[in-house]
Amino acid sequence: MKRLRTGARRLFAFLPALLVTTGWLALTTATPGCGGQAADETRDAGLVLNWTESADPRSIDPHKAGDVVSSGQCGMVYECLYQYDYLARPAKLIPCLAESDPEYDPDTLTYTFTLRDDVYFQDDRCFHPDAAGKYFEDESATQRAEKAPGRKLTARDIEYSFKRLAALPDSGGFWVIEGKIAGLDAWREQAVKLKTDDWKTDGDWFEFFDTAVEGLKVLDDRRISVTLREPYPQFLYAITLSYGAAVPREAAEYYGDQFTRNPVGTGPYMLDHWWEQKEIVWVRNPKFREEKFPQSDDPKDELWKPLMGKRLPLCDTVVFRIIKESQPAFLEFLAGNIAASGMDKDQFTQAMTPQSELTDEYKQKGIRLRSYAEPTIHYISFNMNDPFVGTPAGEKGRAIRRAMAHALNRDDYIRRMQNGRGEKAGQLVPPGMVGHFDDYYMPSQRYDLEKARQVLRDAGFEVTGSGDEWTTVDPATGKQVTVNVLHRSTRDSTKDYAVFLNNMGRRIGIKVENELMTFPEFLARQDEGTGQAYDAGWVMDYPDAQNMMQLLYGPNKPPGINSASYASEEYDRLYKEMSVLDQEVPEQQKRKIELIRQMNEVLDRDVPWVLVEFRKIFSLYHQWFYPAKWDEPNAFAYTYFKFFYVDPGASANVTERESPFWPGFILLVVALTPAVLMGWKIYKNQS
Amino acid sequence: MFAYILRKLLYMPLILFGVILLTFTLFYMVASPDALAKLRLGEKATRMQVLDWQASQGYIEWEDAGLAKKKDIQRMSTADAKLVEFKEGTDYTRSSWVGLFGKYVKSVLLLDFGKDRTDKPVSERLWEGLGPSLSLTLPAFFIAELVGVFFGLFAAMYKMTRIDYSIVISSILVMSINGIALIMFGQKFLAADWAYFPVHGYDTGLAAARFLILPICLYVLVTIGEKVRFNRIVMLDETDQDYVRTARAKGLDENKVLFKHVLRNSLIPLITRWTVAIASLYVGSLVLESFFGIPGLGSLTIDAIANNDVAVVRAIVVLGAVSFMFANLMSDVLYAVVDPRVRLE
Repeated sequence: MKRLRTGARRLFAFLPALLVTTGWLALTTATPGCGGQAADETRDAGLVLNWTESADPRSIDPHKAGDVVSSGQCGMVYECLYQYDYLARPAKLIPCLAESDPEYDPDTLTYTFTLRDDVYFQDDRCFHPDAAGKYFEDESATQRAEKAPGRKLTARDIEYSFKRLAALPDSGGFWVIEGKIAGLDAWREQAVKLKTDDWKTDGDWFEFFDTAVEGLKVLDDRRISVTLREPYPQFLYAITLSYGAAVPREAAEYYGDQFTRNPVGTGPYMLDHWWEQKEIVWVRNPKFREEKFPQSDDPKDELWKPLMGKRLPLCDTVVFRIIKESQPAFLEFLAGNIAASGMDKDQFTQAMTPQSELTDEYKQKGIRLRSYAEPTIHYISFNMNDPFVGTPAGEKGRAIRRAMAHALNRDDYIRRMQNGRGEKAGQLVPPGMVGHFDDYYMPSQRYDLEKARQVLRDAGFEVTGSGDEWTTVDPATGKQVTVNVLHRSTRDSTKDYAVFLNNMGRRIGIKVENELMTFPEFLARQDEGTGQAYDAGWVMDYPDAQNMMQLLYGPNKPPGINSASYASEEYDRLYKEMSVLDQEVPEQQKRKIELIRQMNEVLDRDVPWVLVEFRKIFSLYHQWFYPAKWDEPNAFAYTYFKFFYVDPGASANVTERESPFWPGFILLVVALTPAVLMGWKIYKNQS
Repeated sequence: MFAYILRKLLYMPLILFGVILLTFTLFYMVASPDALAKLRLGEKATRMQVLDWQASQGYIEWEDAGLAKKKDIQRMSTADAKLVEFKEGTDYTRSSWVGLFGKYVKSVLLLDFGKDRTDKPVSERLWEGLGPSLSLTLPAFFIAELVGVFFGLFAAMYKMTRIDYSIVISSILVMSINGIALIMFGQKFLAADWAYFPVHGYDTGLAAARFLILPICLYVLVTIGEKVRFNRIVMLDETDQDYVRTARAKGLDENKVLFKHVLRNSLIPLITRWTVAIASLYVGSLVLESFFGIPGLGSLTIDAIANNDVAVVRAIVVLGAVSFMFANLMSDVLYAVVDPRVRLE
C-alpha cells in the first residue's frame, strides 16, 4: 500500500510537468497565424526565392497601399495598364494590361486604352456563382475552399478600379488622380458619403459604382477612354503606381475590408499565406498570361541572355520573411538563406573597405555589392511663415536661412553619418532624371563658413568668435540667433545627426535647437506650422521632375506637401508651366529643362530649404541571385519579382553548413556542471 | 476571504474606468486625429482626404453649409481647392470629447479595439500572438524561476562558502553583461556561426521547438542573475530563523529543512514577484521575439510602436492594466493560502 502511495505521489509530481509540456505543445500548435489562405504543406515549392522585409505590409490592397513594402507586395499579384521596361534605361513605360500605347487626343484630353485579350484573374471563391452577393465571413471554410475559375479582365474592371481608388475614404493614392479625371471628384463626393463603417451595410456604396463618371467611358469589353480635366503628362506614370492596378469587383465586394489580405489579381503570383510578423509566401499563378523575359541585342544586356525568352515568372515561389532587426537579417543573408541584404552602419563597416568597396572576405563568399542612386532627397525646410526665419523676417530671415545652407558640410555629413552612402545635393532634381544638371550647384548651398558669417553680418547681425565657437547676436533683441529644427524620429542616429547640426550652428554662431519627436507628432507640428525648420525627405513616385518640384509649389502649403509654406509667385508661375510639359516630347522637354533651371535659381535666391543629400543605396547580393550582376535597377518599379531568378545549384551550396562539435560540447559541460555538482551535494546530504 | 475578494472585484470597474480614461487622454493627445489620418492615408493625402477619413471615423461631422462648400471645391481644379481654407466650426464640427470617450469605453468593454494598420481586428491579432508569446515565455519563465530558486536556496544553504561565493559572483557576472549583447552574441555564435539552432523563424507544433530552444536559453541566461540574488537574500532571511535551527536540532536532514521548511516560508516575496511577472508573460519578450522572429505579442508591440499603430498599442496597454489588476488580487489570495497568518478581511 505504501509503495502504491509512493508511486502515486511520484506520478503526481510528474503531472505538472506533463501538463506544462502538453500546454506548451497546444500553444505552439494552435497558433492561428495564416491570414488569407492556409499554407499548403504538400505543394512542391519549386524554385524558391527567399527575400526579406523589415515589416509587414500595411495592406495588399493596391488602392490603399501607400508605403514601399505594401506596394512591393501588391506588385506580386496586381498589374496596371503599363509597367516599366525591365531593361530600358532611363526608365521607360511599356504596355502591361494594355495591348499597346494609349491613343491620346490633346484637344479633348482623352486617353483611350485597349486591353490585352489574354488576361485572366486568378481562380478564387469570389467568382463562384454561390458567392455572389455574399460577404466572405458568411460562408463556411469548406465553401470558401471551393474556388471558381478567374474570369477575363475587361474594360469594366479598369473603370471600377479608378472609381474604387476614389471612393475609398482611406484610399492611399487618390492624390494621383485628384482633380484630374472629369467628373470623378464630384462622383467621389457622393460615394464617400455612402460609405459606412461596416462592409455588410455598404449596399448603397457598392451600388453607387454603377453610376457613371463623365470622364470614364467603357467603349467595349476591351476599350476604355479616360478624359482629363487639364493636361497631366504624368498621368501614365501616376497610374503605373500600385494605385492604378486592376482589381475585380467581385473580390472587392466579397472580401470587403479583408480584401487587403485576400488579394485577387492578374499578376504573376498568388498569395499562398500571410502570417503576420513571420512571412508572406507567394506561389506562381498558373493563369498568368504568357509573358516572356524581354529580348535585347544591346551589348549591355548580354548578361541577361540566358534568361531572355523564358516564361515569367522565373521563380515558382517567393518567400518574404519578416525580419525586423538588422542583425538576424544580415546573419540570415550571410548564411545564404536570403538572396539580398541592406546594411546598417555597423554592417557597412564590417563589409566595406574605407574606399567603399566590398572586402575580400565577402567577395570570397560569393557576395556582390550593388550601389546606385535612389531618387530621393534629404533636406531641411524652413517654415516661411515663421517671424524669425521666414518671409516676415525679410532680409534677416533670408540671411539666417542662407547662412545655415552655407554652414552645412555635406561631405562630412555623408562621410560620418551615412558611411559615404549619399551624394551632396545642390539642386532639387536627383541625378539621372530629366531636369538634373551635372554642371549646376546652387551657390547658396555651397559649404563656406566664412561666407555664412559674412551673410549674417551683411544682414545686420553681430557675429563674434573664433575657431569653432562663434556667437551671432541680433542687435534688435540682444539675443543669440536660435533656430529650432524638428526631427521625425527619436532614434540614436537622429540624435547623432542633431549633435552634428548643433556643431554646424556653433561654427556660425547660430544656436540650433533640435526637437526629436515621434512621427505623428512631427506630422502634426508640420501641419500646424509650429516649427521653425523641419528635417524632411522625399522619395520620388515617378521619374518626372514635377514630382519633386511640387514640394515648393505655393498652393501645396500645409497640410499639403509644401511643408515650408513657401510662396513665390515667380516659382508658382514657372511650376504651372513646367508641370504640364511632357518630357517625352523633345521640344517640351527642352522647355521643361529650362524652366527647372529657372526654378532652381528662384530657390537659390529665396533659400526655403537647406539641401542635404541624395541618398545612395548599398546592397549586398549573393552571386546566385541573378539581378545581383546588374548595376542599374529601376527604383520606381515594384513589379520586378517576376524577372528575378536564382541559380538553384549555387544557392543550395551556400545553405549547407556543418556545426562544429567542440564549442557546443564545452558550452553543454559549462551549463550542466553546476547542476550535476548540486545534485551530488543534495544526494550527499540525504545519504 | 469571500467578502475581501468581492470587495476587490467591486473596486475593479472603478480602476478600469481610470485606466480607460488615462489611456484615452494619453492616446488622443499623443496622436491627434489629423496625425492619425496622415498615418493611415500616407503623408501625401490631401486635406479633403484627411477630413473625409476623419468624418468616416467619427472625429468630425460635416455641416450642411460645409457639405455645400465641399461640393463646390470638388468642382475646382486641385490647386484651387487646396487654396480654400477650412475653418473649424464653419464647414465641419469636431465631435465632442465626451462622445468620443463614450465610444471608446464601449469598445473597450466589448473588447473591440478596432483594427490595426493592416485592417485586421486588433483582438484577432492579440489572440494570434498569444500562442507564440506564451510558448516562449512560459517555459522560459518556469525554467528560469526553477533554476533561480534552486541556486538561491543552494547559496543560502552554503552561505559564506566557496559554493555561495561562486554562485554570487556568477550571478553578478551575468547581470553585468547587457542582455541585448548576450542575445546578439548568442544569435551570432550559436545560431549563425556554429549552426546549432536556426537564426530566425518560427513554426507550429513540435517544429516550433527548434526555433524556441535558443531564445528560451537566452531568456534564462539574461534573467537568472537577478533572480538568484533575490532568492538568495530571501532564503538567507529564513535560514537564520529559530524554526530552522529547531528543525536541524530535531535531526531533520538538510534537504528536508531546505525544501520543506525554508522554501515554503520564503514563498510570500516570491509570490509577489511571480504574480506580477506572470501577468506580463502574455506580452512575451519584446526583444527576444523581435530578434528571433517569433510572431508573438512582444514583437507585435514593438512593431506597433515603430509603425505608430495606435490601436494595437492602446489595446496592449489596456490589457496590461487589466491583467495587473487581476494579478494583484491573485497575489493577495495566494498570500493567505501559503501563510495561515495572513487573513483577508
